[in-house]
Amino acid sequence: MLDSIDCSALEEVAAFAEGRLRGAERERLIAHLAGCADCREVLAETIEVGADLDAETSDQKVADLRPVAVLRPMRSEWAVRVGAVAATVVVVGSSLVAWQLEARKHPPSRSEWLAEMPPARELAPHIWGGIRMRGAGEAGELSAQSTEIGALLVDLEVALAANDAGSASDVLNRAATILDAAGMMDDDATMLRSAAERDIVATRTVMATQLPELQKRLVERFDDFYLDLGSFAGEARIAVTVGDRDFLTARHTRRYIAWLLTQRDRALSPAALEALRLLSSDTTTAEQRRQAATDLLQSLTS
Amino acid sequence: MAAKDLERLFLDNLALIDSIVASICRRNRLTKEEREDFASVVKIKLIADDYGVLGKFTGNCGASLRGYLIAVVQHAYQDHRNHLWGKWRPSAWARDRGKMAEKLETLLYRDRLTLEEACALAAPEDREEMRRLAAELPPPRIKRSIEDDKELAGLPSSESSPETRLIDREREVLADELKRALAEAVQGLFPEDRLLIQLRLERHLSLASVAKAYRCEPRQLYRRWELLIRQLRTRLESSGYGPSQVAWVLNAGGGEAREDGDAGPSPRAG
Repeated sequence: MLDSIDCSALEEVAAFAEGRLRGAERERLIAHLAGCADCREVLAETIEVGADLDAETSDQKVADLRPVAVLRPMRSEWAVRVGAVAATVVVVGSSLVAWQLEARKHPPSRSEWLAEMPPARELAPHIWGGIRMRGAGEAGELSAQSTEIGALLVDLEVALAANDAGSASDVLNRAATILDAAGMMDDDATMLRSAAERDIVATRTVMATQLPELQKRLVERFDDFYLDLGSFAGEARIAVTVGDRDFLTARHTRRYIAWLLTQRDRALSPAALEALRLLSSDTTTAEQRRQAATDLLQSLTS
Repeated sequence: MAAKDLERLFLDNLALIDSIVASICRRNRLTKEEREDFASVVKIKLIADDYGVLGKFTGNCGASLRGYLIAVVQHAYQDHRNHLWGKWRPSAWARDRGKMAEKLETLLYRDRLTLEEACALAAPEDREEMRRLAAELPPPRIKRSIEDDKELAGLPSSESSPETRLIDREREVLADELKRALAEAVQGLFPEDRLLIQLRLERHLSLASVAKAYRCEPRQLYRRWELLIRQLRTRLESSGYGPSQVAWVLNAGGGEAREDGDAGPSPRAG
């Protein structure tokens, strides 16, 4: 590649080194760089020499540094983003349904489950308890992270449908923490945090716009088995908390639990398997079901 | 832009160009003569075709002129190096130990200098480190012709016991298998993640310096890095390779380790 590299390619490498290359050009260059040692050397040295010169400049001109000049591009970019989001209004529910239907064949869709449950306004107060139960600290391994994200998506749908700004903000911030911990979706974590800062109408608008693509990326980056299991566990917890027995006796719920119990290669913990058995048993008391739902989510996310 | 304007652009940025050249020369530990030679090459390249290289800078993809000039001068250095010495590549051993080891290996093996001659070309503060590295430097990969008996006498004996040769062979086989499994695992990553691994391990960039190119905070990149390493470890383990096999392959005194009761290769022990 080195012999044929031209000035426009060098300009793209420089733009990438400075974090300014965007879109398809960036993707194309990354794909090339991953396979071309000569161009990687140009990139690596451009980054390092740039840092050397920065260090020399800062040694010489510390007094002249003007942070405002650094912030300006970020502000204008943010203004564009806000404008684009404000101009787009899409209904939230449809995107969630689409993701669930496309992502997995085995479990019923989240909407199917939610249709079996009481209205969102009654469910929303229970969301905060769920987030606290799953913890506010560092997120764990991929299976636990996937499970928690799955549960949070249910919580988010309920909170947005119930216009519960506080719960929605908590859910979005917790989801952002997990994406940060996973370390693979930095832009999405930033988007979730900024959505959490808005009023409920703006949050709904932002999420309706962003969720379809976000969900595709979640399926790519996380484990879809645990994403679905987390959604189910989240809904089961809410259902038993509000005393909704129909959710657990519904045909598709029983079918899903039966299927889960056969997934030996997933090595679900004994506590999780026991919780699933209790949730699907006809003889379990309401108190046992509540405890089983709590145990299920805790065993999957701890 | 007219040639006159480009000439003005060149002259206005001459100090910057000199700084870039000086930085690249310093990083590659060029001698004074090599530095002067390369500085002339860069200026000729920039002036050629009525400042054609400067004229091709558009700014369309967001690069600054400074970034573009760094990339151009670095590219010129790679061209110049290949022109002078061919596509000579430092060994993996030298790459793992950084620029100083690469330079030392180049001077000793490519340019056939003695250690004292190599040290004389280096900056005084680098000489002690060069001598330390020279003691660890593995023999060259390409066999040289032996010109006289005196040279032959200076070479270490290549004889080894049959058992050592057998263990070395086992180690080579396992190393090849591991390399293949690792290459497959890396190939399965997203291109952006693959590039991150290459920049970190092949080019020795710190995650903090890559963060800007990846448009994120260094702490986010640290987390991403940990996850990538975990993914690769999981993939290797699912292919049947665990830490003991990797340690055995990397162990330079592997024969002795085996005799001391090391678990040995058992590549599919899983």
